[in-house]
Amino acid sequence: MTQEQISQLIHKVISGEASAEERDLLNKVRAENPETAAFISELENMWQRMEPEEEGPGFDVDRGWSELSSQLGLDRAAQTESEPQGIKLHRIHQPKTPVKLIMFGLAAVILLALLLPMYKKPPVQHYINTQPGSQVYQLSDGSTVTLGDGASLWTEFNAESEERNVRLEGRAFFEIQADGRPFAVITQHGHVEVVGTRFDVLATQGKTRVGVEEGKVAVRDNAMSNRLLFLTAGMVAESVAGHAPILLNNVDPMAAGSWRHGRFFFQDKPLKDAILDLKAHFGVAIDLENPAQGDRQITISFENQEIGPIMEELALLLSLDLEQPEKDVYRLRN
Amino acid sequence: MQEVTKEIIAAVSQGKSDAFQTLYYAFADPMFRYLRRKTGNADIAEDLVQELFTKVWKNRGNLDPERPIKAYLYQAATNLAVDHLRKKVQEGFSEEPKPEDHSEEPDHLAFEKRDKIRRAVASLPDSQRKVFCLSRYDGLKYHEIADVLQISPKTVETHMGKALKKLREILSELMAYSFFLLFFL
Repeated sequence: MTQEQISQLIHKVISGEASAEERDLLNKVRAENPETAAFISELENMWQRMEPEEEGPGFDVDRGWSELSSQLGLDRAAQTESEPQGIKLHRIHQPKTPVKLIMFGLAAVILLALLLPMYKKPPVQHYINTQPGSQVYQLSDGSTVTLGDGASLWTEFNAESEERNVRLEGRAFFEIQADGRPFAVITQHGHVEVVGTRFDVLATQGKTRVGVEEGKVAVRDNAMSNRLLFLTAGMVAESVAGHAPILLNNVDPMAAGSWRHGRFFFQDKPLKDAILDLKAHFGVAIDLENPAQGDRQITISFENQEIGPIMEELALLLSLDLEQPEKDVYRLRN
Repeated sequence: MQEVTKEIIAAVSQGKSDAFQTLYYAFADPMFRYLRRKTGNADIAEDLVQELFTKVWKNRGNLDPERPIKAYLYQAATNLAVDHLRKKVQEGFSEEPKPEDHSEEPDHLAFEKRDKIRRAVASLPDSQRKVFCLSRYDGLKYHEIADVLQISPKTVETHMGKALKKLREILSELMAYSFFLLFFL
């Protein structure tokens, strides 16, 4: 290998863009020749020395947004949307007589009372995890949610709200703070209602899967709101668009939420479901050349492993060939 | 750096101000740091960040959720910085750059080290320098750099390899020169 090719390889490894094969290759090249090993170390040290400089403070985003939203009239637009119309009417049409004044006053009070709940509509909070692995967020009610890689959560409730509704895309583990109000997770296909519990939700375009670690939840499909499935600790259910939620058997109760700690327990689990878990956690594409292989049941566990070695172990277990046509794309072939 | 989903971009293009706020909070600081490096002035970079997002909001109808927003913002920020520098050249550099506020005493060794690195990076060919800076200082992935510079990820890889090799050579020369000065002058 030329020094230029080695430089390319080092950068791919340092920046996290290298595949398992490329990492192995670098280790091999390093071990083969002391001169090359010295060259690699020199480049690695140089990369470290060239870390981004911190020149003065960063950008004051809050102040910047305040100024920009004011310039663009976004703050006024938001105020206009939420301002009760009764107040405007009262301001514009001044009554001429005391009777009219009382009438307008009463009307304004009634309108204000009617519009007050709208006026106090809580703002939508958006949580996105863009970090590799999982990230824990605390919601305003004290509940915590662990978002998987690339997951998004929207909340729209505050202390006065009668119910706590959140919308989820991706994978999340919830630890709900019981406060007497229902807590519902809405996904593209499913609706998960709980009152104080710990549970795991995987919401993809195709389906919603719910696993309960503690407590009790009710799952229903968005299109069939009268069909409820109640889950208790250790139970896992799936909800697919247009179908009632179904209970999955042979699922290890320890599996719910273990992905947060980089642990995966697959016990008699169909390969296609294991693949779904791995795809959601690592943000990679995994194809099966023969889709029928997806029904094969596997029992295997992984702990704090990267996706490359996990895929290699899976391929070995199933006697399949593993290909990686590009970064973050894996293919299991017969 | 926070990544923003296609859904958020779609919402911005439909005029949803809360989605625009999410976009702003995700990218205002990285854009500021990028523009500060480009212009060498924090005040100007701050103005350009606001100008950048004003343009994004005004042209929100043209946003394509399928197109990576990060690449779009870096391209737009580069254009703004280039426009700014062009104006500055036309005005004959009448505007004196304000010195950055550093409350701490300058560390001469650190300054010398940074200066060497700056000189080494500045001496790289244009394409290699751009790729190196976007990777090392902005933390962009290969495909993102490829999107910003409108080149293939393979070309990014090649430029990066060449840049690192060259930087090593330049820095070795600079270090050797410093060593020479230390002992013989």
